[in-house]
Amino acid sequence: MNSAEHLSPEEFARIEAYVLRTMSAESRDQFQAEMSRDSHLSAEVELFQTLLLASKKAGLERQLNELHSASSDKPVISMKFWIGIAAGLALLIAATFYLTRPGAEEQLFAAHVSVDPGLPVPMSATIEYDFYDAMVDYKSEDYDACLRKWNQLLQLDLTNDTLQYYIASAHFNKKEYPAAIEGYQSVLRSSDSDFRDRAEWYLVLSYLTTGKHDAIAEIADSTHSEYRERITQIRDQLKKQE
Amino acid sequence: MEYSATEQYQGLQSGDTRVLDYLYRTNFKTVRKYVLANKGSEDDARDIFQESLMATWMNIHNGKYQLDPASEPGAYVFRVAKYKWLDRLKSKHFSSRSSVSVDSLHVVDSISSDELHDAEQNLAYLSELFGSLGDKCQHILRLFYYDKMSMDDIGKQLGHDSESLRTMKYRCMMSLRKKHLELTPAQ
Repeated sequence: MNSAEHLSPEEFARIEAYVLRTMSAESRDQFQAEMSRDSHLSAEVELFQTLLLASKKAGLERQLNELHSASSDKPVISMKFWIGIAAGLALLIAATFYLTRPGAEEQLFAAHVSVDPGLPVPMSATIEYDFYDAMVDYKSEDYDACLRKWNQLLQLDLTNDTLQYYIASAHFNKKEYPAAIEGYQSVLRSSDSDFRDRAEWYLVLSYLTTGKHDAIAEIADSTHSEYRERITQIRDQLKKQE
Repeated sequence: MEYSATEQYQGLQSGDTRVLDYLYRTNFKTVRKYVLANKGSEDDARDIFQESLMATWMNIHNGKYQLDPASEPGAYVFRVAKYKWLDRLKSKHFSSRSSVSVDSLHVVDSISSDELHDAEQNLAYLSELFGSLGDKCQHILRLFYYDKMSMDDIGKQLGHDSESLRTMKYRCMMSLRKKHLELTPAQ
């Protein structure tokens, strides 16, 4: 190994397999011999162990919290106290439900919404590297990072429907519905886009959460997409509630 | 089920749920009793116990607490807890709300301050390091490295194909590595 600054996916996978003891005995002997000759490699192994410890510490902490919550070793408190607490809680729940009960649109939105998971990202994506690099950010829910990268790529190809769709989806996931609507509408302007059906569906959801019922009805009347049934169902439920 | 000192030591080291549960059930009461008897609250007892268990885990990894069949990890946790509670009582914040005399506490078999200080520093560093990651990265790394879930199972749980997930895990670990190199430039 030469550089302490970069560790390739392949180098990382070898170090991980060595530390987690998932490599064969033969490979392990070979790796140990390599480590004795290469101080960078042994330093990387040590570094990996620190990173592993950080992950394990977080796991242990969470597990201890769960154990403590589940522990029945609580102090004994009188029944009267619990009745008082229960009555107070019931009142609080009733008041909270009354004050924060979701509206019809909100309920419909919650019943239908799901995040588009994005496209599969190969580990060694060299073709369209920048696009897939941002796709990893999207999947990691770092929407600001993927928007920054995809918007730069869009400047080079303004009519790229894949970019338009995922930029719109990143805005949708950030609850930035006006920007999402604009992006999905751009996809729909391209008649042969593979993302057409999905863009229309998320456009309907964006309209639903922003109260644009007429726009949903318009789509429901003309759509031929695979989401047709769900879109008309939303339109009909909204009509019933009007 | 009972566990030998060796099983407890190894179970704590590897994060074995059954051993952790056992250590909790058999030792929390003792620590709680000690803290409550010395002007502490339920919350203080819980905090001290968890911090002591974490410090014990850290010292196992540091090699500062080595397996001693004569001394069970539970006894070590209690020694750490006593030291930490005494230290808490001495703190300015606590002395303002407590009338207990620290000198009056009977502290035996205490742990050395260096032993605990290093563990606490290491734990704080690991928290800072891991806390620099986003929630999704933290979740993936915890599931894979601590819960030892397979990439396929994590993928199913989080809604990603395993190849994408492998890439995400690599990226998360590289972010963690970058942060570690920033925080420890001499290495």
